[in-house]
Amino acid sequence: MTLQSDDTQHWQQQRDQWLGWLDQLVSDIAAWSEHQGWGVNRDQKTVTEPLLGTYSAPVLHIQIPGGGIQVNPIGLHMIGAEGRVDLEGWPTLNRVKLVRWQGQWQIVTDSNVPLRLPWCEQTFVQLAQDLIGMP
Amino acid sequence: MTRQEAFSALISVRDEFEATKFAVGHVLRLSDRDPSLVGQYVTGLSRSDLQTCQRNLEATYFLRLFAVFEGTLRNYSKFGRKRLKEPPMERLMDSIGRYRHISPQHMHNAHAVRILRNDMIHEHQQELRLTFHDCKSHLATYISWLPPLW
Repeated sequence: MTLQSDDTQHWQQQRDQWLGWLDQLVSDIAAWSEHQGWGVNRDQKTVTEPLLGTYSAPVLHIQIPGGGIQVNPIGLHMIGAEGRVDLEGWPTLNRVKLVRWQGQWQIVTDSNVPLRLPWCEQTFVQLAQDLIGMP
Repeated sequence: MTRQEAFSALISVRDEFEATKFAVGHVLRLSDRDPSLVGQYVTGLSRSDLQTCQRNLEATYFLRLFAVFEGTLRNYSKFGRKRLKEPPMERLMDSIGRYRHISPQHMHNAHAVRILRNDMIHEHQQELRLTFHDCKSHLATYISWLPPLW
C-alpha cells in the first residue's frame, strides 16, 4: 500500500468518525427539541475541508416560540478543537460554539469564554432560549 | 435583495471580527515572549500599534456592522418601497418601522445602536456602551421585520 493511499484511508476514517459524532449530536438535539414541542427541520449542507475533502453534513433548523435555532456544523479541523458545531439564534444572531475537545462537547461563547456546563438536555433547552433572547 | 442576504452580511462581519480578534491577540501573546517578533516582519510597526488595534477592534467592526445595516435599509427603501429620497437614518428607521409595524422595543433597541454610532462618528466617543454582540442582535432583530424578499 502506498503512503498516499494510507493517508487517504486515515482521513476517510477521521471523516467517518466526525460524521458519527455529528449524527449523534444532531439526533440528541432533535429529540430534546421535540420533547419541548419545538418544530425540527432536518437538512444537509456541503462542507469542504483541506484534509477531509468535500462531504455532506446534517443541519437542524429548530422553531422555538419567538425565534429559531440553527445547528450548523462548521468542520472537524479547527484551531484548538477537534470539531466545531455552531448553535445560532434567529433573529438575534447570537451564537455559541460547541467544540469537541477530549471526547466531550464543550460550550464556548463568541467572546471565547467556555461556559463549563455539562452538555445535556437541560443545558441545551436553556441555551436555546437564551440564544433567541427569551426572558 | 433577500432578508437572508442581509443576515449573511451581518454574520460575515461578526465572523471577521472574531477572526481578527483572535489573530491580533495571538500575535500580541507571541510578542510577549519575543519582543522582537513584530519588528522582524514589518518595519516601523510597534507592539503598541498592535495594542491600539486590539483596543479599537470592537469599535471598528461595530462601524462596519452599522454600515451593513444602513446599506440594507437603504436598499429596502429604494427597491422594496420605491423611495427615491435618501433621508437621514433616524427618519429612515422610523419610516420603515411604521410601515412594517416593528415592535416599539425593537425600534428602541435599534435606535440605541444608531445613537451610539452617531456618538462615535460625531462626538469621537471611543467606548462602546453596548457590546458588539448586543448591537448585532438589535440590528438583526430590526431586520427580521423586513419581508423575506424585496
